[in-house]
Amino acid sequence: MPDTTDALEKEEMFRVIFDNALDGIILADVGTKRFLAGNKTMCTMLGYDEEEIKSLTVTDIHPEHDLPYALDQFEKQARGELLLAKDIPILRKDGSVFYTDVNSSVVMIGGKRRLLGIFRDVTDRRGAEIEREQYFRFFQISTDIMVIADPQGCFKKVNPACLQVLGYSEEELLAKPFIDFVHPDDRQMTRDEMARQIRTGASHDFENRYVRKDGTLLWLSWRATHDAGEQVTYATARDITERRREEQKLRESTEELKKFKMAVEAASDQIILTDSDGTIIYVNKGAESFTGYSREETIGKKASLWGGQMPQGFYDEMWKTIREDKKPFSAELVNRRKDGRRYDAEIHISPILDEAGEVRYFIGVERDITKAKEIDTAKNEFISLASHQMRTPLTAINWYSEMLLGGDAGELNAKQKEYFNAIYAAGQQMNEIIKTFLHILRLEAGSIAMNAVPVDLSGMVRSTIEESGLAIDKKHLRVSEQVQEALPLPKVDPELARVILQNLISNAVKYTPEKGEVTVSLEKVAQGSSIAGRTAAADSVLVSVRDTGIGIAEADRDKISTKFFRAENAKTWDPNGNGLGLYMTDRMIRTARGALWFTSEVGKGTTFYALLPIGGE
Amino acid sequence: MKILIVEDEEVLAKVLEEKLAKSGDEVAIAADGEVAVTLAQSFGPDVIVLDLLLPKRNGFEVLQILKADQTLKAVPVIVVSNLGEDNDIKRALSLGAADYYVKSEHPINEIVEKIKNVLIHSK
Repeated sequence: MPDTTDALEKEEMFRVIFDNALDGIILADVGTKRFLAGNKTMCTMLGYDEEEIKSLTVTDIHPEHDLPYALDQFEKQARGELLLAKDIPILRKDGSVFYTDVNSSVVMIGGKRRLLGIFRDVTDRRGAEIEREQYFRFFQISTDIMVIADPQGCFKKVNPACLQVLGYSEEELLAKPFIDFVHPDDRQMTRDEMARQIRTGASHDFENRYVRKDGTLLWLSWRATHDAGEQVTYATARDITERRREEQKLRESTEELKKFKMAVEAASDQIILTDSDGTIIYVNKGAESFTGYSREETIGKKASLWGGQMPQGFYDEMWKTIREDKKPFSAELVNRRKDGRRYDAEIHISPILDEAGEVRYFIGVERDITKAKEIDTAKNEFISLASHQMRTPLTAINWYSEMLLGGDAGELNAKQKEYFNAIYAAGQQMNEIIKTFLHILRLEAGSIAMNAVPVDLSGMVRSTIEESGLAIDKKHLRVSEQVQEALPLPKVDPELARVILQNLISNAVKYTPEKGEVTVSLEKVAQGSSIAGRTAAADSVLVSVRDTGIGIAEADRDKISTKFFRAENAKTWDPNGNGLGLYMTDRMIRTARGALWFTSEVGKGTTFYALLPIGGE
Repeated sequence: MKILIVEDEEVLAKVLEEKLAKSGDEVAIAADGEVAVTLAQSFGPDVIVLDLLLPKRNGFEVLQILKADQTLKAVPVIVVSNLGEDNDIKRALSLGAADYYVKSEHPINEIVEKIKNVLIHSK
């Protein structure tokens, strides 16, 4: 009786162990792979009951997709090659799948080979593993830098983005404290931030510079969390180098704009900006001191607020130029301040066009030239006065030398005659200079009364040639006149024309050696036709004065008409010239809206061309 | 013949006087614009040589007064001055001057010649 009780107790003990084991247990036949027994836990895991399990085989409890693998593991276990099969997918009765690790041993029961399998549900672990996989993938594929740093200040873990952005290998990054990769200037700042972060637990938007392996710099913006328990810092960083560059550019362009604004504001000229209608939208500080109107009084109004002093034609031409022709307009004018006082000003107005070529704004710069004009007027008055005053002693020189030479004070010997001639000649010269000064003054003051009338140039040429008669005879020059038939009479100021002819002809006579030739030609040229390299801008009369004289050197060409210039060969030929003749002639021809130019060959001769528009302007 | 010279520059008045007195004509000199009028009235010249830039009263004013004076307005006035602007010349001529010479631009002999001609024609 005691044996049976013992045996029963033992069987119950094993039964209890079998049924209450927290892992699933299956006994399977190695050959047929049929399940011989399965414990309660296995039943619960699978969803079958104990009887049903006995009808199953290995193939029934794995998803079809994983069957080959599962069977392969079974076989290995059956052969004793494998003890633990991990992550084996198990198919429940209801079709759901869970994962197990299977521990196995081969046992002999009743002479037959059996496989004992212990199944542990590792779904949770797998879940955790899959999650961990996912987080790891994040870490791997993130384009932001992700790092873990230890309390010693070294990187413990760095993601691929970190390697890529910084250019170092993982070994290199982990080998040194990370502060070594920070820009030297930013290191203290970074240490302070690290300390602060450990105290407070977190760090947001901290920016510092790192040095790449290739030596270039980059800006990183960091977010970090310090784990006090683990004593590590988890940090992620974004490359903000580009953003900072953009910010820098924006700062710089704002600075520049500020500078421009300051420059325009502080300019001593008045600068205004108007829309295409002429309504003022901006006016700088200078404006107020100019016109007396404050900015508030000016904005929204038109510039006529301080204008209206000129004849209507002036404003008509201004608007035509800037609005229709869309060209800049410059002029001198008179304006009127708020208190009524008038002042002289110089204005420059430019249209500002949009891409379509339409006027969008006008920008006007106005300069007060009252002072400059006063100075100019004073200068001219002074020159005028001086010139007139010089005439008095000059008259004395002329008249007394004339009387002496005339024998009024007694007969002169040859030497005395010579000396007094010299004085007389000097007086004549001075006279010429004064005349020229006054002429130029009048030209510049615009006070040469331009009364353009039809002028008989041919007659004028003849009388001018006569004036130089003495010099012509003395040098035995052949002077001839060639006038085109039916030559029109150009409308020009007669005094202007006379001075021009006098200058050109007297020059030709002066600079031509003995027995030379001077030819004066007059012909009509039509608008657009070309003469000696120039094109006539309007129907004109062309005066050509050709001589066989000393010529003008290439180097002197551009200067020959400038004030006081005398070419070397001219100085040698005649030391007494004042260098003003051609300057004055040039200016006079320009006043008459004509043109003056020449062709020349040194030692052979020169031809001067003067074009005088027939219509006058 | 009597010639009145109105000229403030002594140096130049002398030249005119010398040249004109040669031919036996009587010459008087007024050195400013006020004396010019009083002397013209008392001297009774046959021709007046008038400078324009004068102290006390300028030549234009003198010319106006002369031409407004009943006894003097027929006397030919020849302006001999160093003012040479167009409007000066126009003004003098319009005020009744018979002729206008810019001193520094004409030989003295030429001016004297012209004055003599005027004298002859006014006889």
